[in-house]
Amino acid sequence: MYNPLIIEAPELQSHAQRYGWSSVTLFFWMLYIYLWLPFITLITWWIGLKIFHRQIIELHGYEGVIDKLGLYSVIVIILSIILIGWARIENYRFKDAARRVGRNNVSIAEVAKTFNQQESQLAQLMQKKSVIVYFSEQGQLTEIAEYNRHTRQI
Amino acid sequence: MWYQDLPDLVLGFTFYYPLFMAYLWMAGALYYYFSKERKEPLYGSPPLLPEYPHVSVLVPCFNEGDNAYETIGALLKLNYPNYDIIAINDGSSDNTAAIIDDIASKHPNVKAVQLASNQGKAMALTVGAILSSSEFLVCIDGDAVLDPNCITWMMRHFISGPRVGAVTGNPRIRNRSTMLGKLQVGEFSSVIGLIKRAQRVYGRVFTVSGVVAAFRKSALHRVGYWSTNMVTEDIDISWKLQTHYYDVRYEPNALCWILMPETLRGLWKQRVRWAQGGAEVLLKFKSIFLDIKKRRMWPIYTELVISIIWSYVIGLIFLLWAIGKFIELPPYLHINTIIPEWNGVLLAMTCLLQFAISLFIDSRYEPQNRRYFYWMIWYPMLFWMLSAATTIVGLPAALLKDRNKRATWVSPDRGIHQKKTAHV
Repeated sequence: MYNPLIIEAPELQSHAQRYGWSSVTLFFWMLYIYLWLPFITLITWWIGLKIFHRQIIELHGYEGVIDKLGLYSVIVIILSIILIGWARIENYRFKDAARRVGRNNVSIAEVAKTFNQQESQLAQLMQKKSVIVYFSEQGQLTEIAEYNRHTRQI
Repeated sequence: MWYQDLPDLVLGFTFYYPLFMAYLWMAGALYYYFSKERKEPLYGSPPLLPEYPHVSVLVPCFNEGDNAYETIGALLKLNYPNYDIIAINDGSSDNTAAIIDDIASKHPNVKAVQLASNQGKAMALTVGAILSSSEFLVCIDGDAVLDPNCITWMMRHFISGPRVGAVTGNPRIRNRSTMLGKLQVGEFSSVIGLIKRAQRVYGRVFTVSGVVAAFRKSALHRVGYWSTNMVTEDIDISWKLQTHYYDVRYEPNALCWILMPETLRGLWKQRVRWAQGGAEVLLKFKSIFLDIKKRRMWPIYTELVISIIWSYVIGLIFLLWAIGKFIELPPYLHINTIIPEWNGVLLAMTCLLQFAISLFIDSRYEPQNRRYFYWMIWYPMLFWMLSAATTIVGLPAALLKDRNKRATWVSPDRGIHQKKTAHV
């Protein structure tokens, strides 16, 4: 599925970018493999079955991972139950309620008042194609006016 | 004594916190997917709405001369029957003013708004809201390309009830020339996408995506529009709306194609700004704990506080670990290894699982993305390191900044394909 919006032009990279990112990728892959090290060790032990038997069975080497895996699973399950349980309860309680918000759309008069504009003037400006807005030094909105794009000077 | 266990507890916290957050996101995202997303039609075939209220699309542009034609051009082709476009030039120093004038003169549903001086995105959006006659505003960045069906997907939330104050869309990254671009493609689906879904399951979101978000104008009016003194106006408006009891929804089918920085410096600056924005919100909204009615924001706030503490603790641990390689430290400060034994395997498995789940969920939107994923299984590790580093820098920036100062900022680079024409 071709998407014309996607821009993929790796050839635009400089050599520094290319090699730099290759090194970062390499570093993180090494780090990631490092994380698996105990497992890799386990596999190599298993290949030498005798040592595997000694390490894992006789010296209870498997207990570390069983313990951790058990603890992890319990915590993950508890967290998930809390989140999803909460979501279901709240959904049930509030599915049709809009307790604390108003229902009315904001009027032009209210907007005009907030920004110190004349209501009728703001209503007119809303219909214009080109509008210019001026601000004070302090960043307060001072004036809104229509402008003609051919004579505009900013 | 209990404090003798303290180093172990601290190490445990630094290790388990990101790990269990990852599982919480995964669980939430899967629940969201199976309870909502899976039953939806694909993003190209949006549902029929009972009504199509008028919508204004606000496009604040600051020095967007390179992108404005493309952005507004895409907006002219939206599959929504009732909308206009308000392009706001935020006092640009390039040819943005002339471009939006040109587009407005050719298309009846485009309005050109010129700010006489640069006021920042928050003020540009506020002016757009003032000058719009619509109750619904879709706000996108001046360099983003909206999917033709985006508005319909967003509007169905507003139609569902007056409680919905904002809807955030699903940003998709366009530029993938460098590894950094590809990494962010993975990040947006495997980290940010999962977080948004999980937060929606919980019922409150940390932030809308500033690049594509829709708002109910009466809700904005009630909370005082966008704040002009916050570095991330999107995080701030999300908090303002939610602390005024509005709902902020996430709509994964509302796609928006965006450009992200492809240089380290650009990415770093952007992420520090995000971290600073988070910290600013923390300082601004601490009073939510005094109001029981705002209790649903408490966990989001607390999680943010924990993530900041975590960032500093992990920074300290790395520092002690590195110092320990050169100098003999007292035993209670000695960090033996950063990732202990079997925990490492479980961490690696977590990364794998996180990508498997996001691949599963995200393939609805871009099935071809899987080819990027194979190269970045390790990315969640970099994500946590990057967020720790940016938080360490962002918090002091938030604490020390002048609260009255208008926040204006320049977008970072938008990918190496634009370098030749990029603005300073």
